[in-house]
Amino acid sequence: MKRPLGAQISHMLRDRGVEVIFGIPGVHNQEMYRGIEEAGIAHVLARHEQGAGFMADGYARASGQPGVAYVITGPGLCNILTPMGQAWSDSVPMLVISSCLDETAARRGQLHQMRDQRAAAATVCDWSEEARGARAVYGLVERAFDEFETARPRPKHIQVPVPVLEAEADPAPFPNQPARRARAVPPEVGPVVSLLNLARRPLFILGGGARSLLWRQILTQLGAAVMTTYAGRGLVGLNYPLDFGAALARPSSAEVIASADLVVAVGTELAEVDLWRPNLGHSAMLARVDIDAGVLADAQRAQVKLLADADSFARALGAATETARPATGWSREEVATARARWRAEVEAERPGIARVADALRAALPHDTMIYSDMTQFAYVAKEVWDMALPGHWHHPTGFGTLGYALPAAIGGAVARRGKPTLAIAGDYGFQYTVQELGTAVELGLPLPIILWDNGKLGEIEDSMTRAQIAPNAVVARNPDFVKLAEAYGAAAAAPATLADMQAEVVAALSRPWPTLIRLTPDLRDA
Amino acid sequence: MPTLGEALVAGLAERGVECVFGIPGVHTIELYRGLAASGIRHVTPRHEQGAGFMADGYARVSGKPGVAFVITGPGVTNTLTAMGQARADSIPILTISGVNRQSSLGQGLGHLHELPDQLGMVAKVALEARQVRKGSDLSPALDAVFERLTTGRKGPCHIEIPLDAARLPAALNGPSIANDPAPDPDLLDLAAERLTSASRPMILAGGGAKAAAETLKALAERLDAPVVQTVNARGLMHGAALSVPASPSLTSVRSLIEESDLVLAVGTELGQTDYDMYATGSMPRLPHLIRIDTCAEQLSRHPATIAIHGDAATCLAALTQRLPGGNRASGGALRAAAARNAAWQEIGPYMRGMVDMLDAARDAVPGAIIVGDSTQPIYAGNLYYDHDRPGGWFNAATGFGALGYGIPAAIGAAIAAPGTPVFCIVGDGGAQFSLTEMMTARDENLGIVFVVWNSRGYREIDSAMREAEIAVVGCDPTPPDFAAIAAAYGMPYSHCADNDPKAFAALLAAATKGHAPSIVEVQAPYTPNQN
Ligand SMILES: Cc1ncc(C[n+]2csc(CCOP(=O)(O)OP(=O)(O)O)c2C)c(N)n1
Ligand SMILES: Cc1ncc(C[n+]2csc(CCOP(=O)(O)OP(=O)(O)O)c2C)c(N)n1
Ligand SMILES: [Mg+2]
Ligand SMILES: [Mg+2]
Repeated sequence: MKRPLGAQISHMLRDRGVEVIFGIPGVHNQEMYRGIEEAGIAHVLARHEQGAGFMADGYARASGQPGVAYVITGPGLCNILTPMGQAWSDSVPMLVISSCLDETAARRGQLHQMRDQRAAAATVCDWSEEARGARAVYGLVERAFDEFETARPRPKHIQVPVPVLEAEADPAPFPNQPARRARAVPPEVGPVVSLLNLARRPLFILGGGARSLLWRQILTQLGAAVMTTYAGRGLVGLNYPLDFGAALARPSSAEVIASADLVVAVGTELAEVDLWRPNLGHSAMLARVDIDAGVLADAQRAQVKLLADADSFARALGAATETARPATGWSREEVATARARWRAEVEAERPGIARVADALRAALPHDTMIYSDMTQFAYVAKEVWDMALPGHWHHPTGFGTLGYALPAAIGGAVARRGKPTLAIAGDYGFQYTVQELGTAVELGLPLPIILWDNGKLGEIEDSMTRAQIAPNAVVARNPDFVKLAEAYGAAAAAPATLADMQAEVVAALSRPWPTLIRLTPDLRDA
Repeated sequence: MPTLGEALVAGLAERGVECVFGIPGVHTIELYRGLAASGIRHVTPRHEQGAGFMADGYARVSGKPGVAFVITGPGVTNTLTAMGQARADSIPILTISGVNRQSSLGQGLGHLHELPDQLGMVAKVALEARQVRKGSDLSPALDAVFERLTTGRKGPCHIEIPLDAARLPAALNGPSIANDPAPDPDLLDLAAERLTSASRPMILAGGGAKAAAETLKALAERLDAPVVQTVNARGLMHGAALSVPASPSLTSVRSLIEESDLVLAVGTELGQTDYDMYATGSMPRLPHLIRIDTCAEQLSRHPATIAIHGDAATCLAALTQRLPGGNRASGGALRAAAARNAAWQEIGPYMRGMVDMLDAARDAVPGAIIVGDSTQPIYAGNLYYDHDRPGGWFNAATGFGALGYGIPAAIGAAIAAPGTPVFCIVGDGGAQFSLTEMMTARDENLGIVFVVWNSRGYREIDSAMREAEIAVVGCDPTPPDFAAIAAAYGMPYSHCADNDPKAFAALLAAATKGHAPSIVEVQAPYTPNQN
């Protein structure tokens, strides 16, 4: 059936499994809106395109499905660039579709006009293309979905001129058989297996890309120790005795890594934001497995490189080492000692937070999905909070943008209706996207939001002090957060003790709208 | 020797910068080392987009560049929308950011706040984008951007400092001062001659004429020429018999233009959002067009019989001098009055109702600055409204059209004009884009009345969808309770109906007396297909 192309796009997305679109309509993209409900897709109306972008990101991280956003020409697209930059650095599948003008070269002063919108978006994503007809649109959408499956997932942008969106078009072709990722097959893991056979102290480093449920079993059968990136927490479950935790950023983790006689790094960039030092610190052989050839070729210089999807690698490795004798070089005691030392370091660096994190963790169901912002609370929690399940803590790691937690948690809660979700933000960062509280209320999401209110830009104050700058511009007056939450129709609480906080969190999880839980550093133990 | 970060701040102070809008981060702390001692005021917004729009509002009201300090990566992407708006409206703003270590740039090492090519990204929007890698780069970079910020057609500029450069030693040379070129005297002679011999001339004034109110008025009276003002030129001719403070997109205003025998266009880019906002694809015919503009590129875009490259005030004064003495009387005031009446009829009762509210606001508090977002009364005013202060009516409903501009731009305006009342008129939808900046207004205790025109949704888009026979989706974001918002931000609150100019005027007059931020909510019930 012929429809305006704008409407056909939504139908095509529906055929590829898209269930939710995040966005904000305007006159330019209204043809895209024609198709949304008709195609049976739910629309989530954000309060700012930045919110829509973070929601799409949170949705994608929670569901593994691409997050899709619709925005207008010009300011709508510029507003979503920050979330695209975040999704780029954290390898999140996101598809942004916008309108655009069709003749910008000779005319000036058109509404929403930019000099080169496509090129501006291209600087923060995998690719940004303009489609001037139905076939081009369909081809690009197909390409985006194929690449989400086969390559390192990253944001993409398609723009379509307003008149093209308005023109009648035939429906998109039926979906192709989806492409599949590069898979590791048993013979290819051979070199890693040989090295493991010789190793006494093998160490695995698992990143957010190491998605597989087999690690616990493999590590146990190999007698291998493990460290994860922040994004890799939960991959081995709780209480594995040789789990050093998310300790890569501890300076002395380099000593542990140096003491390994084989390091196998899977699904991690070993980036600056993972290590906070230039080098991993290994002295033995390094084997790397990744879906992105660029990562394998980076400065960490692996001796063995395998281009493959992590789960297929884990399967092949698990099968090939089923009968291996476990290595015996690591002791439980050294792991426990190192962990205790690191925890003490964390507590000394940013005092008073770990106890709150422990209490919060104890109050939450183990399958809670957590979204954190750039706050000192999260920096501490990421180091001391063991996760039972993989992929259940999401942080704006690489790009490091404030204002992520609330909208991303909204996207996550939309993807996992009926399952618990929690947001954590600092008092300053929370204000970046506070208006999305309105979205969460509208959607009826039972979302506790932990607001760590130290009354300042704590991290920046500390940094100025370290650089011997008299702290300035780091204390700003705060609104009355409880009243603010209520203005949007959310619940709010300001508990005085850890036990009150736990009770508030439990209550919030069963309330069919969001709850702001404001915590201050003077929160009492009892 | 000072560090590069300190020297940069000193260089800004030397160039007359008195205020920066900034959010500090680990990547920009070096800029803050020298700030406290520099005497420059620092205002901390709640989002970098706010910083950009504040710099814009500040620049429009002060006539000086507005400056923002932002961090690497997300700090910069967050300001791009504001840079896009400033680009479309030719507003001088300067963003200064960090960027990662030089050795890491372009390599994808996964550093915090990393972008593949930050400078390349900004260059897509900015007029001038510079990276300062060492001490000796600093003065040339400052001179280059300040030339773009103070001469010709202005716009957004950017300077970025790599993390490893910020602490290098740097010395400053004194600033080099750039000036606009003097207009060509032969062209002025010729233009004066044509103007003298025209029998029904008219003038199109744009935002570029903002600083030339007196000269513009004098010239118009000498020529007896009606003056049609684009959005950014409103307030230049308040109450004058020759004034036509109405949009050249209106048929009645187009007739005035097309029936004249000579058009003098001053500081207007003849862009779509002023001249063809209904997107008919056609411009009014501009008989025997003479143009004055500070931008040579702009002059080449539309054919004109004479194109004079120069600053509006200088050119208008020079033209006036060349005219024969005495004011001509050729029915100009009558033509202007006829156009005003026809335009007033043309905009229809719905728009007229909102203009009545605007008129009441103006008359209740003379000389206020009105800053707008993309909302119904602002669209109405852009069609027809006569403000009483040059440069005192501006909004982002035109040009880039970025929703969320109003609140932060009003904050910038209030900082630039201490003691002047500022009214910020914003819709409930647009307000939610940047409501968080209310706290900045509170921090700085600015005398802004935030007028929230609450129609409980995106009425502009709702109407457009209905007209296109699209089942309305996504146009009804539930607004927050604005009384509770006011309480959360510690502001007084009051409300009135959208058809009660008297009550509105009284509330604004009362709110202005507080010299502190406050909210006036206007309840604007919506019935589809209003006209
Ligand atoms: C978009 C953006 N702007 C600025 C920064 C720099 N920055 C990082 S943390 C921080 C302070 C955050 O304060 P708050 O949310 O109160 O958290 P706290 O450190 O006090 O826990 C700032 C300004 C950033 N990461 N992202
Ligand atoms: C950044 C951005 N996103 C979307 C739009 C499209 N848009 C223009 S007006 C408008 C609705 C504004 O609603 P409101 O502020 O309540 O004003 P109303 O028309 O209801 O008076 C929208 C969504 C825009 N101009 N800019
Ligand atoms: Mg804080
Ligand atoms: Mg509205």
